[in-house]
Amino acid sequence: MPEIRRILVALKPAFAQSRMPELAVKIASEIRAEVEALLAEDAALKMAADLPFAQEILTPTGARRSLTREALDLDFRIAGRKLELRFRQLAAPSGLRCSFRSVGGDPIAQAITAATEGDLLMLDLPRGAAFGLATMRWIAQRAGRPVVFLGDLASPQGGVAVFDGEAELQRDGLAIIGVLSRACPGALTIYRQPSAGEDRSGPGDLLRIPAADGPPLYARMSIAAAGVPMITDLRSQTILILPERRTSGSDSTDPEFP
Amino acid sequence: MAELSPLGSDALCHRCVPDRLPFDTTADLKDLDGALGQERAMGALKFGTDIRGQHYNIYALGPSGLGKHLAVTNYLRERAAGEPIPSDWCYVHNFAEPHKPRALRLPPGNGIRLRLSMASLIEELKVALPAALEGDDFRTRRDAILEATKKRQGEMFEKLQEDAQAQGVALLRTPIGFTFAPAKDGEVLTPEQFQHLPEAEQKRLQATMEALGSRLEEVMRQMPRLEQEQRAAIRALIREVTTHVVDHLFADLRKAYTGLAVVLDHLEAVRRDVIENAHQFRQADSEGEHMPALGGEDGEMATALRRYRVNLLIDHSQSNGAPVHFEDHPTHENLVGRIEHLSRFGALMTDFNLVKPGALHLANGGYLVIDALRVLTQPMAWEGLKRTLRARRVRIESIGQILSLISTVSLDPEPIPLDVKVVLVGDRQLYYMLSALDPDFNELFKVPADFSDDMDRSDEGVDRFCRYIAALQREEGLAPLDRDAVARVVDHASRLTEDGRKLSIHRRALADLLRESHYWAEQRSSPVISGEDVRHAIDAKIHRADRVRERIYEQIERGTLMVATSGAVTGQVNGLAVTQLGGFSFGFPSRITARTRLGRGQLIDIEREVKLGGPIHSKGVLILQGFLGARYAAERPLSLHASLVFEQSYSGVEGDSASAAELCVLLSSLAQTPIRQSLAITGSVDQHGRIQPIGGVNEKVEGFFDVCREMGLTGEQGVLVPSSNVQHLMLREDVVEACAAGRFRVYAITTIDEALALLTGCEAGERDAGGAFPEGSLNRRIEERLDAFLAAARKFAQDPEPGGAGATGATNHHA
Repeated sequence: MPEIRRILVALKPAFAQSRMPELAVKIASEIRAEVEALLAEDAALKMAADLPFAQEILTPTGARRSLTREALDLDFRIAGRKLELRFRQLAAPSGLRCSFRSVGGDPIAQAITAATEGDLLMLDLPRGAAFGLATMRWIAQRAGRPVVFLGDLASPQGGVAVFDGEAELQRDGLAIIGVLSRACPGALTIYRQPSAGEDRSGPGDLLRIPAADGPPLYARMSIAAAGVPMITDLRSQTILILPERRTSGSDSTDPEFP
Repeated sequence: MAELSPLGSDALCHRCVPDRLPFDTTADLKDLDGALGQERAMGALKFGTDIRGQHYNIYALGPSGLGKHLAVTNYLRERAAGEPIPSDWCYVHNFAEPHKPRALRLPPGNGIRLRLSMASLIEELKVALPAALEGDDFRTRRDAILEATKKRQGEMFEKLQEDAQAQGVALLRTPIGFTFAPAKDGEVLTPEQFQHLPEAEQKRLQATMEALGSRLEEVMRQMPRLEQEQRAAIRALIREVTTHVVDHLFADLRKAYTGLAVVLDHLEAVRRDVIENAHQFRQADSEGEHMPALGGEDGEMATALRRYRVNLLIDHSQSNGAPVHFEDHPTHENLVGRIEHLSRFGALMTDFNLVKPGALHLANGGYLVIDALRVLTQPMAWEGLKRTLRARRVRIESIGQILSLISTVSLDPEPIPLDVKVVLVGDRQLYYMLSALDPDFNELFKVPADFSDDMDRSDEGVDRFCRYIAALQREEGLAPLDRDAVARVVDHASRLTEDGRKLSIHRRALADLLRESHYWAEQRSSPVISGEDVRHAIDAKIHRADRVRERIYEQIERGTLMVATSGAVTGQVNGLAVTQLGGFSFGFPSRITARTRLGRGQLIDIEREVKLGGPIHSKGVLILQGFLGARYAAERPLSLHASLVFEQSYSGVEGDSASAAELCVLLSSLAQTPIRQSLAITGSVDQHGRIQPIGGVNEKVEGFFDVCREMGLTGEQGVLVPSSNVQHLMLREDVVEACAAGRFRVYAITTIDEALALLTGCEAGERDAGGAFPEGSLNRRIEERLDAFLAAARKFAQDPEPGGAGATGATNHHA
């Protein structure tokens, strides 16, 4: 895994409350990387706004209003500016370089497309039945870069879960694992692929990860075999996917993992 | 009448004979038991402190410097040591009415115990509650509640999303809300694609989106309810966890204070409050709901924990007996207590912890000693003291509150019942003024303890006095006094009272004399204070103050002040005056003259005419008129015009001690008989011609002696004093020696006739059976002169024209 010099953060303006800016700036400050934020203006949302009967139900009151393209564009711009301001305010004390750009279209697709411009991709997307571990691994494989999916930083069940695409832990990923683990309080668990002949999953050995400065990390090394772990067990955790060591930009659409 | 003889030297001063004192130095004498010469006052103190009725407070009256404070305080301390120790008092937070702190009354020594217990409880709560509220068990259960709410919220949205998908609609997130859009295979339809749909399908989709929108509205409306339920569940959880922790802590406390119902009530209130407000003990979580506030003065928890403290107002854990408190700065606040404030972020904050006790609190159950003048001169202090004594409870409020100058919300601590004896210490004038003018005073201070400033100079009295001097010497850390020194002190004590039969017990004056005598003894490097040291101390003190006296004597000697001490002058006499400058009094002669002529019976007091004469002086002069009329004009008009004046006196004249001198000079003028200037006279005279006693007799005699000595003693000089003042004579040694040697004389006179005989050398004379005065007597001369005035007056009345047939050529008869 190459040294991380640039972090791409893909955000939807709809997620104005996301904690991703804080996490991204924290990680970037520690490894002295620059941050580029991609603010994806959902094309689907724009199309919905073009419909003559489009309505918007506002949070938290549930009040209704007509949804128009103009109103939506304005909201996008406002949300985008707020996010930008947040980034700049967070980055200012450490002098980080931040850049912003708005992109149209699907945020995931846009993120994957832009992934080649960075060394680490960070996404804050809602988890559910339609968006699970398999999808996360697919995204990482398509991006050809490590991808961080933001969890619930306030939850005590948080922490970090690392899914390594290889059977042997990718040692050059330890730096980002260490940074992420320090930024996301909670347990650190690393899941690797089973090697030939391994068909059982379960908790493995305790792995000691020395740190360049600071105390070492301890992680439970587990084997991710069939059926384990399900996304429901990972609802609060921040997930780091380290893709398989193959050529970047794989066209595979099938997840290799259950 | 035989000429009076001068007084013998032993009548001029009642000296203490050192050899009669049964000790060598004061080191041989034991301390005196009790106060000296204050039987009345101490009896009143005992009565006032024994009696248990309401408002039997005490006023200790007497001149300043008597040692009233010391005597009162010593008595009270001795008495209080055997009295029960009063209760401790604490203020605690009133959870029902926070601005009215509650007062807790506790057995002595329990106040500090409770304060420490609560402080310890607070420390335990600071650790135990956050630990319980941040422990894994609590977090797990709290997270479960949060998760459950999230799950329910998520399920509502997911169900909605699923239903939307099933009906070909996608739920999309906007920057500030949600919207629905028609979709196919997960992709939102463009407006063109939608337009190409069959109309029925378009309508169905619109209706579906409308219905879904309504459902979404309903979901949003349920969110606050879900959050409310979540909060209630978390509060219940906190309450449960907190109850478990505090019940354990409070169980121990309740055991420790079994039997103290007020404490148990308070503990229960604290327990309830801790449980209800346990959220204040939680540290900040990731959402930043609660700010950490462990320790320090800032922070929500620190503020909350202050409520559980105990403000120990009065602590008797170290007391032995009832309190005796002397308040030397009796302001209103120092008496009734005050509420302090702390400045926080530009505002003044307070709570029950900042209530401070006043002197009345500190003395509650015992005795409070206050200087009367000081309490009267402090704004609102006297009123506050009276109000508190009447109400028999101490209520803390500021002057601003009393005067309704402050309308902001402040504390109103529960008043504390008061059981105290107040002893005011002050002078007599103040006592009499308060008695006359303040109706509350007589009601509240029923017991006067009248301190005497002198005592009898009996043998027993001298013995006790010597022991008192010994005690004073030891208290002050001074060298012991030998017999001679003690004898000089005894004489000086009599001199201070101006009475050879009395001894002054003015503590300050005696202590000053001892200290200054000690100083002079030290100057001689003597381990013992001798009589010479005492004499030196007295003389040095006089010398430090007698600059003005020296100037006056100098003026007399130089003739600037015209005083004759030899020869004889008609219508002129040496009167004697006393003046006080600071703490030093001295006497000096004052020339009084009189002129008489034909008139209509007027006696002009020139001092009164120019308003330099005070009322008592004027009274004395009017008495002379009565005498004159009674003796010489009982049955005839008094055709006299007389004028009297104190020559070269340009300041006020008061008192009647010169009325005898005035009468003598008046009669001298009438009789045209000169008065010896080598004699001075002092005394008051009544309408019968009897000489009455006066004050300052010693200073007056010594004053004339000093002037005569300056001018040169001739052996003819002396002073006439009222015989009733002989008992007051305590003259200086040099005066006594001069009299013993015949160089100066002191005569004791009883009647004006005796005085006239001495002053004029001419008998006054008494009426015979026929009513006539003896030939050549002074009275005869006076009468003849008055008859001449009368005859002239009658003639003038018949023929008023000067030079007319009836004129004798002498219309004005001047003396």
